[in-house]
Amino acid sequence: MENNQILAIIINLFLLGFIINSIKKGKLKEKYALLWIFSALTFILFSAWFEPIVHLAKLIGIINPINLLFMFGGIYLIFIVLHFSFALSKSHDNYKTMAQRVALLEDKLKKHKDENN
Amino acid sequence: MSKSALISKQENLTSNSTIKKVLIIVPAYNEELNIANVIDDIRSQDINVDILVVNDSSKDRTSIVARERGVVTLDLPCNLGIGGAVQTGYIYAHEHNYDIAIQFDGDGQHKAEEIPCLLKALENNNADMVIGSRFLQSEGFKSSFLRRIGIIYFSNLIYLILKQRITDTTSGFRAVNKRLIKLFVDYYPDDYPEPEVLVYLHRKNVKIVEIPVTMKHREFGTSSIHMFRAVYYVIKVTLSILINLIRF
Repeated sequence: MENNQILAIIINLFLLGFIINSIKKGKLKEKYALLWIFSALTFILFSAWFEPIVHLAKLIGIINPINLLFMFGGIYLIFIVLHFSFALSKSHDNYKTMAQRVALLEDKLKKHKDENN
Repeated sequence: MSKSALISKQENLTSNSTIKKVLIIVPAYNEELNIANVIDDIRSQDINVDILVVNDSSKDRTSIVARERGVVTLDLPCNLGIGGAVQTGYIYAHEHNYDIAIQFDGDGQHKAEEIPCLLKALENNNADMVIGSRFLQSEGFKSSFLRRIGIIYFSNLIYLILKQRITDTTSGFRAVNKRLIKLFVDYYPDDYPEPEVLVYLHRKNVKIVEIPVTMKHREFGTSSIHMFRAVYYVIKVTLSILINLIRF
């Protein structure tokens, strides 16, 4: 195993540790935790076992296999960011509805109180 | 149709209209200085309407001032923007079974004396929505060259979609009937709701009528920051409109 592979594995182990720690503290929702654990494990796998990347790069016609990794990394990040945009949009709709319900319920509660006094 | 012809036509028909429950929805964000005048202005009119202030999480005393005047006030717990605030008003109107809802800005740029005109136009034209337009009567409306281009651009964009000329697409002074109140409970756009909502309505077979109104001027600056903002606004609204067009 080469030095750069070992470095990559160490960095990814740190990432994995950080994710697991965040779940333990309740900072990260399981839904996203799963995504990141899966990502970290995939990174570790390809750091240790580089062969398939080299073959795939040859097959597609990419001279330097590292560029294939960059390409995958880019595509992967685009999908993750897109996913967050979806999640944010949904969460915006949710809190809008909730804010409206709260305001309307507060008014009903106030009227109810005024009637009883 | 000229304003005078419209008014004379309306006056002939007002006597036989049945009494309807009307709600004035006043969206307000940081309007502690204007909201009292707006409420007093509406109350000084000889019309039987209820007022609802939707306080969009203002940082000032907007809500307190409105409540002091005895107006029903809804306090949104977080800032939703004009679309979310107005929609809250429509939900309230729907829940309390109002026949007509009128949007009336909390900043005091609309004139309450023109509310009866909107109501009459809704009734007489059997319309679903009446928009108070600043531009239907060109007199008294002065604006910069760039602003005029923006107004004409939006009007034409909406015309392409609706096949109907709306001169003042961004006017927030509008009256709608019960059918539209229900439609707005289901959906109301967020960011730039005034032009967007017209696109939303275009497939619902809705009758929209414009009548001329005058508004008190809020001066637009001409600094480069404002110009940049204006261009940004035009692009964003165009995008919103086009997105809305493919959504429904």
